[in-house]
Amino acid sequence: MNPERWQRIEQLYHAALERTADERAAFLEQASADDDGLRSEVEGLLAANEHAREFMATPALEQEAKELAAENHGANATVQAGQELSHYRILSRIGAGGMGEVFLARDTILERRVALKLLPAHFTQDADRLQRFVREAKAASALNHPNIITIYEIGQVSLDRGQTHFIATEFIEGETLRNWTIKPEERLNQTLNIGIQIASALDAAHKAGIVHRDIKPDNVMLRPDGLVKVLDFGLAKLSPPPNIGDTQAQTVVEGVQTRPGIILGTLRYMSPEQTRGRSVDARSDVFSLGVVLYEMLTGLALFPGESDADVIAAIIRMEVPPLAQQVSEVAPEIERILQKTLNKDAAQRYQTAGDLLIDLRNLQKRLEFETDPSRKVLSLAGGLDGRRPSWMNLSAIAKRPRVVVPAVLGTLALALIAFFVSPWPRLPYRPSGDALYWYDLGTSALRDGTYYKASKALEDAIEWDDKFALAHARLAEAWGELDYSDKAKSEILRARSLAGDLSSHPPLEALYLDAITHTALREFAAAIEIYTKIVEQGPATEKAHAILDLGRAYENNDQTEKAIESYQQASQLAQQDPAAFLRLGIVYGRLQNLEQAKEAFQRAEVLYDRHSNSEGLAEVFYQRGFLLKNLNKLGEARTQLATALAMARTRATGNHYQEIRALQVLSSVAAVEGNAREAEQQASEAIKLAKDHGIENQATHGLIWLGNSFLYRGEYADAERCYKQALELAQKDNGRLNEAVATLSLASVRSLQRKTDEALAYINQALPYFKKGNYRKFLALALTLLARVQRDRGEYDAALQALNEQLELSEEVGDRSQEALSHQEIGSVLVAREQYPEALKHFDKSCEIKRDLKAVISLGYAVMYRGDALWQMGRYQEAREALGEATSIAERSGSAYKQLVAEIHTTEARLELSARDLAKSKSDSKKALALAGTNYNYTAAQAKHTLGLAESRSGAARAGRLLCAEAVDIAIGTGDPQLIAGALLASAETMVEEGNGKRALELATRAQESFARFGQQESEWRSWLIAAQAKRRLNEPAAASAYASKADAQLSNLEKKWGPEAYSGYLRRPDIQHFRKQLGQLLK
Amino acid sequence: MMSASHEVTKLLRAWSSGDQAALARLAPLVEAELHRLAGSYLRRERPGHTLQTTALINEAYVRLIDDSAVQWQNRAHFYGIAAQVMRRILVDHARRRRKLKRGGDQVRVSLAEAENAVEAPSADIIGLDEALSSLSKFDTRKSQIVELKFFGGLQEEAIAEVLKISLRTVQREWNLARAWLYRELEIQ
Repeated sequence: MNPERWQRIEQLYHAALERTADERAAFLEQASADDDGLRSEVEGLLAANEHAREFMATPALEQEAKELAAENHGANATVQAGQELSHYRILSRIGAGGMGEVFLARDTILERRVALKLLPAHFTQDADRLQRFVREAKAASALNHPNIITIYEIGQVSLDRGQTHFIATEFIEGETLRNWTIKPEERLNQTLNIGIQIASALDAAHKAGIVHRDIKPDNVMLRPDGLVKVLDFGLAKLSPPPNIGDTQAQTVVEGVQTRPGIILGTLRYMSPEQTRGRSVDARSDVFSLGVVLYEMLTGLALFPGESDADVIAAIIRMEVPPLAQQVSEVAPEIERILQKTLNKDAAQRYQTAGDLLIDLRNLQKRLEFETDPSRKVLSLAGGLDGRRPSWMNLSAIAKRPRVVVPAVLGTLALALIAFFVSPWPRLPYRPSGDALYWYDLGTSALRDGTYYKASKALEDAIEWDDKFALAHARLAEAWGELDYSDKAKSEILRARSLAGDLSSHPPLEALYLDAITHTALREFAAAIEIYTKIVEQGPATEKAHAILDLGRAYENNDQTEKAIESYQQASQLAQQDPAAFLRLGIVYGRLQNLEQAKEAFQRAEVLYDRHSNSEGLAEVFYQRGFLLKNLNKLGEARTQLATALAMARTRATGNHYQEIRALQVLSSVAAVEGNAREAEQQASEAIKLAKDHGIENQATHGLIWLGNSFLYRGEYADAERCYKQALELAQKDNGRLNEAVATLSLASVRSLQRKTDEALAYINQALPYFKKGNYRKFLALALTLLARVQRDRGEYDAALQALNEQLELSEEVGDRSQEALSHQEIGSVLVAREQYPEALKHFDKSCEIKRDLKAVISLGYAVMYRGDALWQMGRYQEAREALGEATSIAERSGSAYKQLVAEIHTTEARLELSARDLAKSKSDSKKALALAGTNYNYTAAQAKHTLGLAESRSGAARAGRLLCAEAVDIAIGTGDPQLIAGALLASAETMVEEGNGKRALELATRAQESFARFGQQESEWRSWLIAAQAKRRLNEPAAASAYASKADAQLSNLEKKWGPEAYSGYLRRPDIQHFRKQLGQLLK
Repeated sequence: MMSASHEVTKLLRAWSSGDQAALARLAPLVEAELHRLAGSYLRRERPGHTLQTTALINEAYVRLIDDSAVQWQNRAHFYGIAAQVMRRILVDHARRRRKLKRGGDQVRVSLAEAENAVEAPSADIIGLDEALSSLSKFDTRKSQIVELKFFGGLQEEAIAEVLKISLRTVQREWNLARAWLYRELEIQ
């Protein structure tokens, strides 16, 4: 490749990448018109880029290691995934041990998952022994005991190595006791809980004449729900009797070096009689269980030894060290039980597992009664010798190579084990294994922030087991996150009715159920309390998740800063966990804090990517796109959203929820860009998809969003159409929240159109629903809108009352953006009342908060209002600075904030009119008028009468009068009394200039009456002044002088109203000085 | 682990100062890591417990700058060498593995299946090595970026620092190089 050509390719490639997919073809065609080869080269690279996203994502070392692992795996395995053995299809290998390899397989007839164990040939050569094993194993399984694994089938298959026996058992999701990890303070309870279940299994087996012979941690499985399953009954019979020096039998594990002279695994748990090769009975199992319990309690190997001979010597001779030596504050009862269990002489031991079981149960009950449940766990707390780590697991005990049956679950299972099993021994309900499998998937998806996936998995869990209360609760959580509030509610009701009395549940489970219930019912304050409790009291393994849940609750409760705090804490605790970063990004984004949002999203992206979690990854792109769109960075938003969309579409399972949302935001990007057709197209596609897949609320959402983007652009008719469709759809599918939101949106349209009666009617329709459902954010919006409408109707007291309530509420919950909005709205009501100094205080506060929150665009509005209040008091310089800042914000934010720009221009025009820079005032008004068009009537009316006054004051009296007359017409259309009065007064002034005293008097009087009614004293004194001038024109000097006195009196009232400082600033205004001069002449 | 890294450092230094034999001595160390890593995958452990590329190289570097006898001009030089060495060793390893592979009779169990997870498409290390050599003939920097990132395991920020270019440039060039290499391998 020649360098120049490569450089050219590179340029084109990057330039094309920056364009949207649709624009690329045209761009390339144009840019490489003369060179087809160049073009196809770039196109090829662009296409490759689409597929290469994951390419080289794993560093070479790790990749090579993975390949190596896969190969080793393949080389050692005798059976491959996908292979069919009898009617079992192998899914994956889950472990290998002395007793053979274990696979996860699917029973293709019964369509269930099974664990398939292939027995090593040398185990099955002795037909007699095999027969005995089969009999015992089947007999044990037939006991149908909850703690004994169920055997489905024992059979033979033909493999290349010859006939091989297999055992198909139920598949247990979970860890072996070998990998059990527990906090010291929970140790006693859990040991009792697990010990009781093992003893119970042994008791049942012993009563049926079956001895296990190989009780050890590796043969005990712990399910995530806390249920214990004892494996491999009778299997030990197949293995040759222990024979020191024979390593062959038990060393099939790959990668583990074996030293000569060592028997792996079992030896340490054998009874003295077993190590001597004598015949064993139930009491041998009792001894083995004793060893297991002792190790669980102490975290130490009971019979350590460098060699087997040492171990055997210890088993036979070593006194069992009293527990009290290993851990302090041991209940004497457990000491007595263990000493009896571990007696070297079988005759002195518990004679049956049943006897041991009774003692363990009694101890458990006693501990429960004696101490408060939260304290009893402390009977061993701090008891562990300080030199040892506070966390231990049994596998750490075994210093020597061992035979392990690796279990199937990752960290989640561990977390769940700690969660379920921990200090709570009983469980009221035990879900089926398949249900648990889906439940685990669902819970982990919830925690990853992938709610769609979670909802699917949890639905599956419920399909397997409809009585699984926690699954219903978690599903409610997922529905809630996906905005299906009704579904969430019905799920939580189902969960609660299944769960019954919560006090009968393990405390942590009950807490979660309670927290999720409150969340589904939108009682977030209560949820916060409970999650806080879980964070404080729950097991450490749960902490990061619980803090994340707490953050969600804060977020839902609009306590944004608290939410951020929690998410930060969660992300520090679990730095590999993307969900906290995703939430952080979303919340920062909501605060329009772009930098920190970006950073958080970046972290989330990397982590989701690392976990190959494509739903999570797509979510990051979506959320980033959504944020960029809100910040009006449309090009970047488009790229992100297109990626999210592509990811949602290419996923094998298809993620319609994400697809729909991405389309919706893309549609509103198009709408903001002014590309109405594309917007409509994408919105309709999203809506159709949503309908096709039964995601009606998303269809409604889509319509509301589309409406919003029209609304922001000031295209009220289109917005209204969308909202009305949304309303219809919401009513049809009973989406109450969406119905209320659509209604509120319509109110917002009407309020902007200044159709206050209709706006009020809509608000009053929506308000009760938000109140009842405690939708605080929507409630706040509705109340703010209500206040705005009241303000526009001149009902200032009512408006202020509503807003002050809002302010208090937002301060209470620490919702700062709502607080800023309340201040701004209060300020604008005060402006309407012409209480500028007080208004300024609120605007200052609002600006301060918005700056703090880095909420750029809404800061633009606040700054503009602040400028408006400032110039009224003659503080032109500060006002100009504020308006300049507002302008730069609006311009930086792009063309979409037309209305803001128009309002800023109007304010500038009024300021310049006041400063008597008439030319500047005119040009500002014209700019405002051009932008306002017929859409923003309020702004148009103000700009027009400002322009009229400027024309009139600069000598163009007729033109001024005509403009003001138009302004009056527009103002009347809005129904805003203050605006109408303002236009009337302007009109009157131009008429005085033109010499039409009679008409001027009429208009000035009407304006004055209106101003008086609403307490607008500043406007009122000017109305009296114009009226006095009109009277003079009409040659009625006495009346003129009387009116002038009224004007004078009202003017001096302003000093009282505003205070001397603001008043003197006002008096310095050039226009006011001019008016006062006129007043002085009239008063003479 | 520590002592292995120390050994790596010493050997890297030796190699840089002309001792070609160092490469042969380094390979077993990297391979030990490879096997350790592979073992952890087989045991289904989280990779966090094992020494990975970046950690391996960073550890080596940290130990190196403590050493007064440093012969590296700078960090960049070190990373460059380290990534090259990693590349040679890994490609050799992949070659040997390919040779050892028995015929197509065995359906390989992918780890992804075992872990029930979605696996990213893996790059063919040998093919990639060849394509990368072609790339370096007309765009050295891009091939360096790929070498540092894929073989050296460096983060993009670190690569920017090493090559004294902006992060944005690293990302842009990586993007194009990745697309180009992907296509090369696809065509092969």
